[in-house]
Amino acid sequence: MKAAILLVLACLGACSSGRQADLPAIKQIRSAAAEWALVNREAARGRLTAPYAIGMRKAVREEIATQAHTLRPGSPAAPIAAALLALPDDTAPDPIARRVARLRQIEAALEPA
Amino acid sequence: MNLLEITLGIMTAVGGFVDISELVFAAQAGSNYGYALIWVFALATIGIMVMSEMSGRIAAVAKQPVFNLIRHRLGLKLGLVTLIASLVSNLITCAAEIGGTAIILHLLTGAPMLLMAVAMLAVLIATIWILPFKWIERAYGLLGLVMIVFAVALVKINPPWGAIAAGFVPQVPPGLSTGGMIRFAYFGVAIISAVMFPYEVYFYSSGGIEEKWGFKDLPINRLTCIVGFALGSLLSISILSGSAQLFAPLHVDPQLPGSAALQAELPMGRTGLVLALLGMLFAVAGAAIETCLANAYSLAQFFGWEWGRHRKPWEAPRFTIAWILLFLLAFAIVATGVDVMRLVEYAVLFSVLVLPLTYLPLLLLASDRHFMRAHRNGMLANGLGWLYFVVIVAAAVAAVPLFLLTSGGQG
Repeated sequence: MKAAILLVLACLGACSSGRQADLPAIKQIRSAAAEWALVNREAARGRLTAPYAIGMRKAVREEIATQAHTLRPGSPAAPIAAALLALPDDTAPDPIARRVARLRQIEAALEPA
Repeated sequence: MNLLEITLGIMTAVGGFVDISELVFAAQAGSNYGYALIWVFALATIGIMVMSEMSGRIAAVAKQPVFNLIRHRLGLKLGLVTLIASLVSNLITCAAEIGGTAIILHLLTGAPMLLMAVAMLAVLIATIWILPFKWIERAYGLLGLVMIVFAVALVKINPPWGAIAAGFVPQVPPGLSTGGMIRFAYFGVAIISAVMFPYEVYFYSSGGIEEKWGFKDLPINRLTCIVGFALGSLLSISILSGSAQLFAPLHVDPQLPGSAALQAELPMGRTGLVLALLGMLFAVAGAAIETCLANAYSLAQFFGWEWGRHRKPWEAPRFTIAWILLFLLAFAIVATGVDVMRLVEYAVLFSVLVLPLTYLPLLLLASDRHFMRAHRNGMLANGLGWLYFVVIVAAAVAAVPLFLLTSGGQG
């Protein structure tokens, strides 16, 4: 039993060490931003109701802000998250999508083999 | 035989499968792993069909709801542990469902979320107070069928049907890292837990007693379990497949309850979006009623109180006070501003721990020769029952380490 607990703790430590500790937050920021781009694309095509578009934009921004707070100082994702939060709610999808692509690159670099 | 006769199964299944946790887990499973987790849904669906059929059969033959059996078979102490664990699990789930309905109403109307939670609470309490049980199940069972919009949306995007069919074969996606494998395993356990939520059998078997089932209802019980849960599973697999097809290429890993509605909007436009939100609202509201009543049923059956919605509220006063208080407690949790998605993760974790304690007494009693006589489990039901018991014990043992290792599926 003791050995099993130590193994779990060791895995936990290994999973959250160093730069990789930011990985879950980066993934969530990337996903929220990708969803934001999708909502804005569909809203621009007039296919969403106003309450849905407004509500989803608010929710994704909150998600990005929450996750950005958990990033370590100096994380390469931090300035991207800040740039995303500086964009207006109804910004065009392309500027958001470019930042999603950069977050994907950071993720790929951090992802264990 | 008509649709109205199997609404208990439809409500149980739609509310059980396509509740707030499933909307998120199914969509995330699809966007992260494509169709590779469909087989887990199929596996768990057969499991809940088997267990619910047993609970309905016991209700019809022995007139015993699940929590009576738990107390008698596990004894007072272990029965009390099961009661407390399932009360906590169902209360968290109920809070997540009320929070989920508030989010969906907010997305439909734009009104503040807390106000929508209050409105929903009032509607839910009024529903149970005013409507007879039959009409509760009919209203939410049939309104939940609006969720079929997700299956229609999937057909409209013409997904790779061969790949979806291949998803029914047990598999692990190739090329996953160790962390990826652990996260895949977490999703598998979470899906088993979410599909086999214990509140489904508490609600279903108590519903059978509410409806005064007898021997003549045994065929309906079997049909209800098969059709109802197959329908719920079909909807969940539609959400998973739609997410694999639409969200994965865009790198969206849906974290929000409202995200799933985009799956219907993309092929069907604004009409699809509104129908999806309405379907989600009815299904999640149905799940809120199920979890709250399941808790009140459990309490009343464990302590031997008068219970049931076939009685007037004042004829079963402790039962009535219990379900109202449980709704108010669930609302209080939502009103603290806690993240609904965190609630969902904890609800799934707690539920999987309760599963073995719920299903063991059910299995023992359903195969008891003296109790069930000619209607005891046959070889197939017994074999499947014990096989699934092993599966849920393994899931319960693995749940906490996987939850910690993946930070609730995020890591």
